[in-house]
Amino acid sequence: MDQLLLILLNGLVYGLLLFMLSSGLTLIVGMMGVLNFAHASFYMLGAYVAFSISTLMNFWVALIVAPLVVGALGALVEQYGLRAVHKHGHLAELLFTFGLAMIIGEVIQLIWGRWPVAYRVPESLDFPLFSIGGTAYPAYRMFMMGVSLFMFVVLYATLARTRLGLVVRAALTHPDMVAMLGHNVPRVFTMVFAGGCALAGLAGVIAGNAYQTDPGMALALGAIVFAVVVMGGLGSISGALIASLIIGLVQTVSIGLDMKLSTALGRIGLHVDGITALSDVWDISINRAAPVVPFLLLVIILAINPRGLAGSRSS
Amino acid sequence: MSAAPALLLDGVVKNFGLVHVLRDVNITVAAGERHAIIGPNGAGKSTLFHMITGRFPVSGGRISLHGRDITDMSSYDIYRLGVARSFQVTSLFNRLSVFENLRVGAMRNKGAGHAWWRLLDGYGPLRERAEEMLEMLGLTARRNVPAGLLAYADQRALEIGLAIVGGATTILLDEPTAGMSRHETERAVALIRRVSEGRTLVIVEHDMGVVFDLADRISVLDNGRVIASGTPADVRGDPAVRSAYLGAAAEVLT
Repeated sequence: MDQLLLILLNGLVYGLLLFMLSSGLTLIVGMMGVLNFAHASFYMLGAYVAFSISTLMNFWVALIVAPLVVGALGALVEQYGLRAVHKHGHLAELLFTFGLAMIIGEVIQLIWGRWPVAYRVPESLDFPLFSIGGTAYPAYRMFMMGVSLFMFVVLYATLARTRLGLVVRAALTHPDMVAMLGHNVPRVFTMVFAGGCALAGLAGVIAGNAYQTDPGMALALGAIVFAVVVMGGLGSISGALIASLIIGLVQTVSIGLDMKLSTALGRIGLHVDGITALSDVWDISINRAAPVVPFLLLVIILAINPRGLAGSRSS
Repeated sequence: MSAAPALLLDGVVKNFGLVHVLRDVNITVAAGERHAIIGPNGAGKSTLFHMITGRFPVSGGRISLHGRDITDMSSYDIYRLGVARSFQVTSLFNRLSVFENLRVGAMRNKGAGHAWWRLLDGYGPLRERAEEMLEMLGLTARRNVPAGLLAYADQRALEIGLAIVGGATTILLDEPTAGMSRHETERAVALIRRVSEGRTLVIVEHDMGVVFDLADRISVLDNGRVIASGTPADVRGDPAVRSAYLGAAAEVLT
C-alpha cells in the first residue's frame, strides 16, 4: 500500500511535468497546424540555461530567467523562422522544426559537452519532506508538483478568462476567421509559440535537476510528449491533461513493477505459463517494457478514436 | 473623398498557378448600396471575397475602400478599416458559446483587442455589445449554447451577427441563405435588410428571389469577368446575361 502511494505520487509529478510540455505543444499544433519537432529541444534548452544560471547565480534566479530566455528564443524562431517558412506549406514547416531540433541538440553539445552536466537540486530543497513506509520522499518532488499545478492554474485562467484566451480558443478552430474579425493572428501565433516554449523551458528547469540534464533528454521525452498530444487530441488542453496524467501514472507504475508478465497476468487470473511458444514474451519483466507503454496506449486509443481523447482536429 | 465609392475593384486578376479564376473584374459599389454578385458556380464569386478581405493576395489590379488602396493589406487591417464578411462554408467557433463567438467579433471594435491580458468579463461595453447583438439575432435564449450545436438557420444568423458585431461599415455575405427553407430564407432576408441599414452590403447569392428582392444593383460574374452590372431591371433585360446565366429563371421573374 505504501509502495503504491509512492508510485502514485511519482506518477503524478511526472504526469504534470508531461503536461507542461504537452499543453504548449497541443496549442501550437492545434492553432498553427505545425507539428513542432523542436518542442522538447526547448525543454532541454531550459534545463541547460538553468544549469548555467544556477552556477553563476542561484537556482531561484534560474527558475524565473531561464523560461523567459527560452520563451524569447521561441518568439524569435516563430517570427523570423517559421513565419517565413509558413508560406511554403506544412511539409516545409515540419522539416524546419526537425532541422531546428538538430541544431539545438548540436549547439548544446558544443557549449556544454556531450556528457551529463552537474545540475543539482538546490540545497534549500534537498531534504526529505516526509516518509512513506520507511521511504523518504524528497521535498523537491513536491516543489515540482507545486510549480506544475501553479502553471496549470495560470494557463487555465489565461485561456478561460482573458481576452487573449478567447482569441486563442477561437483560433483553434478557424484562425482565418479570427483574422477576418480584426485580430492580428500572426502576433497571437508568436505569443502562443513563445508561451509554449517558455512552458517547455520551465519544465526543463524543474526537471533537469530532478532527473538528468544531458543531450539525450529532448529525444527521450520528445517522443512521449508527442504521444500525449496525439492521444489527448490535437488542440485540446483538457485532453492533454488527461493523457499526461494517464501516461505519467501508467509509465511510473510499470517501471515500479518488478515482475514477469506471466506473473502479472497470473494475478488477474490469466495463466499463460502453459503457452511455451511465447515463453520469451512472458519472461519480459514489466519494468523493462515500460518505455513502450506510452506508445502502446497511443495506438490503442487512436484505434478506438482517431481524434484522440478530446480532439477538435483530425489532421 | 466622400465621392469615392465604398468599394472599387479595378481590373482584379487572380491566378492559381495556370488556372485563371478572375480575369479582369471591375465592380463599383457606392456607399450605402446593397450590391449582389451573381454568376454560375465556379465563376469566382467566393474568390473575389477572398481578394477583397486580403485572405489571398491578388495577382493583378487594385482594390480600394472609400478611395483608400487596400490591395496588399492583411485581413485584420482590412477588417479594422470596416470590412467584415461571412463565409460560404459555415465557419463559426463551434466549441465556443454563442455569446463568446460574438465577443470575439466585438473585441477589436470595442477597444479590447490591445489589452490581451485583461479579464474578459470585466469589460462592460464588450458585454453590452454582444448582448445587444444576441437580441437583434433573436438568439438571447441560446446565449450559452456552443455554436456547433445550434440549428442550421441559427448558425447562419449568428454568422451574419459575427460579421456586423464589430461595427463594420461594409459587409460581405457569402450565400447567407444557402440550404435554408422558404420560411428560414424569409427570416434571413429580413435580418439582412435590417443589419445592412446604413451600411454597404455586398452579397453573393444563388437564390434569385433573394437577389432581386434585396439588391439595389447587381453584377453578373461569368468565367472570371463581369459581364453585366446595373440595376435589377437592367440586368434582367440584358441579353448577354439571359443567354449566359439567367435563362429560364429570368423568364419567370419578368
